[in-house]
Amino acid sequence: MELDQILTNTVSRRNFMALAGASVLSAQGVPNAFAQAAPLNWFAFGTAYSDPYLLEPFVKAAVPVKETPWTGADEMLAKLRGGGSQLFDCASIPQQFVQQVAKDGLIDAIDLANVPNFSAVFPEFRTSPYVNADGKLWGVPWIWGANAIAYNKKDIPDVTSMSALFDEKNRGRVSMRDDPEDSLAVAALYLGIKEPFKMGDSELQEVKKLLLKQKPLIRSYWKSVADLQTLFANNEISVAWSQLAIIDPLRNAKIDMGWVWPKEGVLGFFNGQCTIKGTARKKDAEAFANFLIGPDYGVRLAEKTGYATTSDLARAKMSPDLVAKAGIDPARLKLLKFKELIPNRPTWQRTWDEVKAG
Amino acid sequence: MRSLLLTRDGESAIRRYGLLGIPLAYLLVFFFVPLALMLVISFWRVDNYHLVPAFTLGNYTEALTAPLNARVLWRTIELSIVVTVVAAAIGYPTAFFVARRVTRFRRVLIVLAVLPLWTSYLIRSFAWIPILSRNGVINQALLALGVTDQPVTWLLYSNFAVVVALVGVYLPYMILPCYAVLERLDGRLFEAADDLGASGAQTFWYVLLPLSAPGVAVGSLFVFIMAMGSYVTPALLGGTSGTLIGQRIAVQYLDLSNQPLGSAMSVVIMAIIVVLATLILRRYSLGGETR
Amino acid sequence: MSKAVAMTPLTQRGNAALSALTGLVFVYLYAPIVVMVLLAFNDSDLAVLPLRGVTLRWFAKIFEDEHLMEGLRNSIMVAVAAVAIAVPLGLILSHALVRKARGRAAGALAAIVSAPMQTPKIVLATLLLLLFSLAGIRPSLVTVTLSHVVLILPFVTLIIAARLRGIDPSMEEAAADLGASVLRTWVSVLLPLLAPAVVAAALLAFTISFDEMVVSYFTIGTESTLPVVIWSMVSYGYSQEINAIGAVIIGTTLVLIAAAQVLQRNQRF
Repeated sequence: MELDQILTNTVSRRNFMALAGASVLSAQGVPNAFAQAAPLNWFAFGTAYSDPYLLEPFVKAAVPVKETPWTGADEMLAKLRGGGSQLFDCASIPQQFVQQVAKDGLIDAIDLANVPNFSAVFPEFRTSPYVNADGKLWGVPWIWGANAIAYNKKDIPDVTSMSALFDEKNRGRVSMRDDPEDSLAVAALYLGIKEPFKMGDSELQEVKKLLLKQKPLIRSYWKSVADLQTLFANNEISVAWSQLAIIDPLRNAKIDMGWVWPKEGVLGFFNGQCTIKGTARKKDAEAFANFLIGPDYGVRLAEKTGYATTSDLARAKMSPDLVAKAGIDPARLKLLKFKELIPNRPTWQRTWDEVKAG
Repeated sequence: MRSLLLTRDGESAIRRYGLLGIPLAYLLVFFFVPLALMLVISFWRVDNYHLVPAFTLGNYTEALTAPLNARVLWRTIELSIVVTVVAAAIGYPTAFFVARRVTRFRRVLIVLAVLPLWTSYLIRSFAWIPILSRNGVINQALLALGVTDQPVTWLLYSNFAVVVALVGVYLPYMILPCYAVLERLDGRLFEAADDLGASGAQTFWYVLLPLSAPGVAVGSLFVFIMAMGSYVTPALLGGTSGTLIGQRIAVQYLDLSNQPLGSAMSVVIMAIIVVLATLILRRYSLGGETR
Repeated sequence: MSKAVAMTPLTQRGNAALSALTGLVFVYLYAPIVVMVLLAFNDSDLAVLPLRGVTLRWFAKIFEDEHLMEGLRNSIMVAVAAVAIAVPLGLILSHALVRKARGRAAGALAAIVSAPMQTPKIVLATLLLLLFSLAGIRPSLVTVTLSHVVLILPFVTLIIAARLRGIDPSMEEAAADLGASVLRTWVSVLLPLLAPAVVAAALLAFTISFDEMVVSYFTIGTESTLPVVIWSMVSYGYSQEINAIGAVIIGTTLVLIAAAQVLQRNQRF
């Protein structure tokens, strides 16, 4: 191989660490008497979802789980492509990336025989084109939610529309997410653009104009859930494009928070639980996926984090209050605009950077 | 070849430099080889998320002349200078006081000055929010004292907040090298200056400052470089005051897979830093004696 | 030695002004830490002051939090190992820099030593990831440690060099003239003189490694260090546990330092 080829292959993000794992792979393939005792390596977001309380039933019945958290979808992708596939047995992957990761040969199709609970997954997810391809299932949908509007009812009694985010009355009291995928898409939905993730250059220009006009209303853009929660907690903002995770802690602290899906639309997400290609623990990984959509995990997930399960088995075991709190209402699924893979991602990023630096 | 390894007095280079080969080899393997690769890549281009070997100056053109990048670069330099100057202005007198005016608790104080570094820099950045916010500690005090009747909002999510937090985070890096130099100055120098009738200001300008300049220089270099690369704190506390170059580079590498542009941006800011560092290291001959 | 650090004369006004400034600087340095400690005891899910009540629940939580505890252990291991490698390397480098290299060689060596420090961390991180992938090394705490050495070596070297420059070379020359071996000269002459700088350098290097996020993130495998754990905790949720872990670390450090101080006083060296 020529030097430049070697470099190209290695430097490419897809192959960053592929070489790294090659040597390890052989060692992993060797049957090991202690294999059962070794934890299942799970690559997932945040740390709240692998809380011992949440995983307890699985760990007791099967094997321990060791989660390695990623902090952003792009970073997750980079690591996985770079050879993280040698480090992990399974991964929780945002819906818009599942097909691509499958195409890159990083994950295996799910053997449904090992995931009996799958039939209890809401049909919208079970048949979702994000995780189904070539007649196979590539990821088991296990958690879902929507990014929508959070507001402090003390400042704004009632919000039904995205116009609250663009209203001059809220000058210096608004926050948007520091992320092109969210903020450009929200502006697009507000402008009535039907397919925000397929925007062309002229539509992106319109969106940019709107966001620049919005800038004086912005107190700060939020990067992490912690930023956002702190903005509300310290009375810095009245309304924000938000994640659900902040609402519970703020309400616990007696802040009267509203959470609304605006009429213009809502950005949805779910995660597919995927099995990493070449893992020696495929059975365990699939048993774990089965657990995530079983009757126990979803209940504990809602209790602890307020996030929604995709499983009817879990919903059936929850109190109506808990179901409402986690917003588990498949009827409203059609209101969600699920995030898609963006073909002109660099242009999106540049547009957003120009808004921020403008 | 042999003559290259011999210095003028005939001593062999290996003997002269002893074990130097070990750290140099370490830096070669873990830094310079990949660095050379990055330099090469900064002339390449990206096609559909794949690197393509080429020779193009396009990345540099974009890094330097695209209005967005030029503006971000300037803002980063300005902010870094402000942070460095503020850190020196308060860090040096502190180091001087601890090194030259405290005897009994000197060691304790200097350890206390570095101790904050033991706490996550992320947590420390977050902790400024309840201090500077609309209903934070400072505003509560200002309101209680009647200094203002409305909460002051420019304290947080502003350039001010970024400077406050960054100086706070980097100050130990200024205090420590200043202290290291000041602490070992010979006290008799000051007695001599005093005996010769020098005023306090004269002693400072002609004795203290020249002798302690290497410490200030090293400290300033540390702080400036760290400020140039900062992006978590500015993103957290800067509000809408704009992006920094570190953020732009991270985006190129992490989100866009445009390593060539990211590399070119890195080369640009490294060039700025290298020029500064070379000047400083040479001026204070930290690179060796010019005997 | 004690003569060298004799007090510097200063007018009373100057002294008062300086001590006031120093006091303010320490308040400034510790304000976020005090806030962090207060929040660690705050009976609220939010990072707000004044306190809503006192609780120990955040402390209880961190000891149950496997991610945090493991991150803490890993961070300590990595930092200790990285410092143990970097200090000897830094001693060799600083000595060559200050005592041996002259002219062009000195300039080149200084540039080589400080180069990693002049590299934005995000770039350093990418470079190292690239290297480990080329070499076929599986990312782990070992790769994190090797990377941290690159990160801290310049700091260690420059701090030691700054002190070495102030030490009269004739002391080493005298030792050599008296027939002391290189090793003997180091142990008996140089190291005692350099000790404060070595301690300062090691302390600083430890803290840089302990708090490093970006470089760690790119070079870790399945084992995370504490800053990486904290970063992922705040990204997808926010618990005041992070203040409790910060408080525990700072508290432990204070106790250790106090203990060291007492020991030193008793030994009277």
